Amino acid sequence: MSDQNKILVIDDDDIFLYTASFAINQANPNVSIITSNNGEDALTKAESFNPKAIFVDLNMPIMSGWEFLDELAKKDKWYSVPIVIVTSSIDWDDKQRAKNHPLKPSFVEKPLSADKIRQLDIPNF
Amino acid sequence: MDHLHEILSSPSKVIFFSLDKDYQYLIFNQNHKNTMNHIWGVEIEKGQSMLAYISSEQDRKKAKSNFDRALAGEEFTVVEEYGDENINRFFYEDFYSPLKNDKDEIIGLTVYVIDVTDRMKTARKVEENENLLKSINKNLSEGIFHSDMNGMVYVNEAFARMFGYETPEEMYQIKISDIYEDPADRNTLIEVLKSDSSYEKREVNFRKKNGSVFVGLLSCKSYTDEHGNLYWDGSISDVTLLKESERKIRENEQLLKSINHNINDAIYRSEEGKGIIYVNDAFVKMFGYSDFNEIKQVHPSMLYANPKDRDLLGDLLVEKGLVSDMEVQFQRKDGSLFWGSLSSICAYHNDQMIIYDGAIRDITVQKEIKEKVKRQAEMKDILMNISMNYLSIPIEDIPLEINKSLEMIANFASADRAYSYDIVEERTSGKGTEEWCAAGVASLKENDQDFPVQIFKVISAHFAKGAPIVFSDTTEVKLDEYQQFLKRHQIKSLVTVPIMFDGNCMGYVGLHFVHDYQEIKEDVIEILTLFAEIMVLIINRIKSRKELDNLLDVKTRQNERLKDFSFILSHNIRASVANLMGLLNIQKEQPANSEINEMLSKTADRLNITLFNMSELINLEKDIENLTLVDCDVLWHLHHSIELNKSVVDNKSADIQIDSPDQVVVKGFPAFLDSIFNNLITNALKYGVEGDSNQIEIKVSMHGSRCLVEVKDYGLGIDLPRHEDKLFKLGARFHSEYADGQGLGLYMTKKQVEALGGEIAVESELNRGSTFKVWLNV
Repeated sequence: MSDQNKILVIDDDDIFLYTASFAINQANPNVSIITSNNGEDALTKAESFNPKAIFVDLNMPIMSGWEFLDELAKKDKWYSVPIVIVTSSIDWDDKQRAKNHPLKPSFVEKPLSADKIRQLDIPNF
Repeated sequence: MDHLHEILSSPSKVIFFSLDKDYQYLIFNQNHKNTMNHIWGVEIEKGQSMLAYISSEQDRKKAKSNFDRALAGEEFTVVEEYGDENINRFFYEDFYSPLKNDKDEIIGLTVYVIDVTDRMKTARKVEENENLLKSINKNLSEGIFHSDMNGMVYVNEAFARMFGYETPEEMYQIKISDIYEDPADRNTLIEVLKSDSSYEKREVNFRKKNGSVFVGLLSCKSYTDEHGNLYWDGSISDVTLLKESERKIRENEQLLKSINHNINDAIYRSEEGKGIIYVNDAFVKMFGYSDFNEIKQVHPSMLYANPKDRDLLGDLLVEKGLVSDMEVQFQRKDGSLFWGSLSSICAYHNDQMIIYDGAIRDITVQKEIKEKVKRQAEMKDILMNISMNYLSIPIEDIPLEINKSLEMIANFASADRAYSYDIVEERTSGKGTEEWCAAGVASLKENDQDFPVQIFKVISAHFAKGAPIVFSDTTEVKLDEYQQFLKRHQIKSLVTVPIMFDGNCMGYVGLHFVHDYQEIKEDVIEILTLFAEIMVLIINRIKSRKELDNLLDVKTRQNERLKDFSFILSHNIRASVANLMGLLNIQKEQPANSEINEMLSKTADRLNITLFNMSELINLEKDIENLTLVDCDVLWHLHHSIELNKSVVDNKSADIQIDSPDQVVVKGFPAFLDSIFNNLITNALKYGVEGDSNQIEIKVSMHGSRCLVEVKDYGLGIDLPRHEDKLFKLGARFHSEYADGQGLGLYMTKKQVEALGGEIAVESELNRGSTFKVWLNV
């Protein structure tokens, strides 16, 4: 498996990471999934694995999903990578913030399923 | 013939000669012979023609003409003058008569010449005197008379004219007593003359020919001639006109006096170089002097409030000739000032002397009314300004605005300090006094600790009636302590008006006068009273705004908590449900996966915790709404919370120390205090007791009306610069190792502390530990 087929999933909820990994592989068995349960750890992993897509939860301790995205936006290379915010409820404020965010993240509501992932239109997925 | 001879040779001054028809001497006397010799140098002889002796042809012709008239039968007299009039003048009277014979035939003529020089000279003098008298009579307006017991002997023409007669002669016919208005006056006057022999300018009423009466000034002298006859000489001048003028003058004087007495305008005349030369009574009175002499003593410029005004006025008058209704401020004798409206004209006398006539009307009252109207308008402006401003400004700007208003009012009243005191504000925020001080005037706002509080009762009782306190002179203040206070702060005059609402005194507004004593005017009390009314509105606005703010605050917090509540609901519950769905999806695909069951049970547990937390939040909400504060023993609750965590303390070998006064009681809600302390101790045990750092220090201290409880640990700590703003927020978690935490503890703690009127803060450093500080009200 090349680097091109890595997907980064970030959430402090281990059970979600488990179910998310299952759903992503259901949609595409050829991608390998890297999980992280906080933003800081995720930044390091993103740098080293160069995932082709990133799924991130917003509500996390230490570094929230938004803080993680703000850090990510400091590097141009992430502008071409699909970013998906996965949340248990889509807040209107968050939606606005996403619209104005340079990385233009899209939204998916939990639980993550193979169908929802397929509809995300991630290139070469 | 003897007689004739005697005549002929007499040395008297008679000349006699007689001529025949041929002008030849028939006879002549010695005087004629001498005279002819004297004049013509001839020795005349009988029988010789007289004409032949006269060598001057003119004289000869004249002589012949006279001789011929006598020869023609005429008897006549001729007066002849000879010689120099000034040195030696002779007058001769020549009697010519024809010489007749017995038959009455003219045979010649006779001439007598008598020297009449003496007689002529006397006559001349009489004539001259008469002419002089005539001239005097004609030109003299004074009537002159000469009278005796019988009547007028002489009066001049003026006398006759004076009495309305045509000629003096006409007057000689009348009875003298008739020229008197009262005929008895004559005898009275004669009696006076008998004793005094003369009098001068006695005023007598005379009667004219036509019966009208005039006033004459009679001067008269009596004398007695050698025969014992009594005469009177005198003069009368008609003073009717003079009397009339005098009467008119007197009338005018009376009028002037009356004007002086009755008009209020001050009138004056001043002359350049001399100063004031006339003023009327009103002037004297207006300037507060006792008489004109006193005014003359002072320099005219002293009559002006500003002495330079006089020069300015003078220049203006010289330039324009007049000023009218000019408003000038004058100075009275006692130094007090008044406003006058001055009108004056400047006149030249003899091209040089400048005279200023002027009138001054005291317009103090008009000025006062004008000033009053002006002040009313000013007051209206200020009040409009004030009331408009308060409508539009935010509550927090009100103190500043009150300050501005106080400044406006102080300026209006010329006060040195203006202040407002608001009891309501004082009760709620400990503030309530606003103050404005003029430059150089000390503030009393923070500096009135020496105010004699015992007099508050008296003042409050006064204010309760809604009446202002006014002292134009604070030395009149009766209460000793109060007077001393005012004296210490150099308050010379003061006015204080209560702020009344619904019959209650809500505070007061007032003015202090430090520099001078100030008569507190009605309009000052009025503007303060109106400002006090505005203050009522302001205070009520602040009050209702505060109530509204409080309500809003309560509602906002409630709303925040509801939002938090819904966050838990939507996030935590949904997250758990999402996990359940995800797990069930996996279980469908991998029925034999044993991990799934474990995870399903974990998710169920978490859901249970969430639901428990929700009920906690609902209880918190209920508790906050129905909070009743009671006295709580801080130490007891601390020990209780430690006791609850005993198993953890023992497990982690934590060392909890309490440093506290023996007894600390705060206003609280027992369940909240337990929850607050329990949470802080639990957190300290969870994140603060790690390995060697097993110390937990609890310190209780008093700070005025507040009690501070500090819980300090030396554990993980929090990266405050990064997390401070979300530390107490719902769902905030800082330690990923403890991901089961739902971020409820500190959130609940903060809400509970705030519900008790307290505050919570944290000091922390990553890996060094944390100190949570809770302030509670005693």
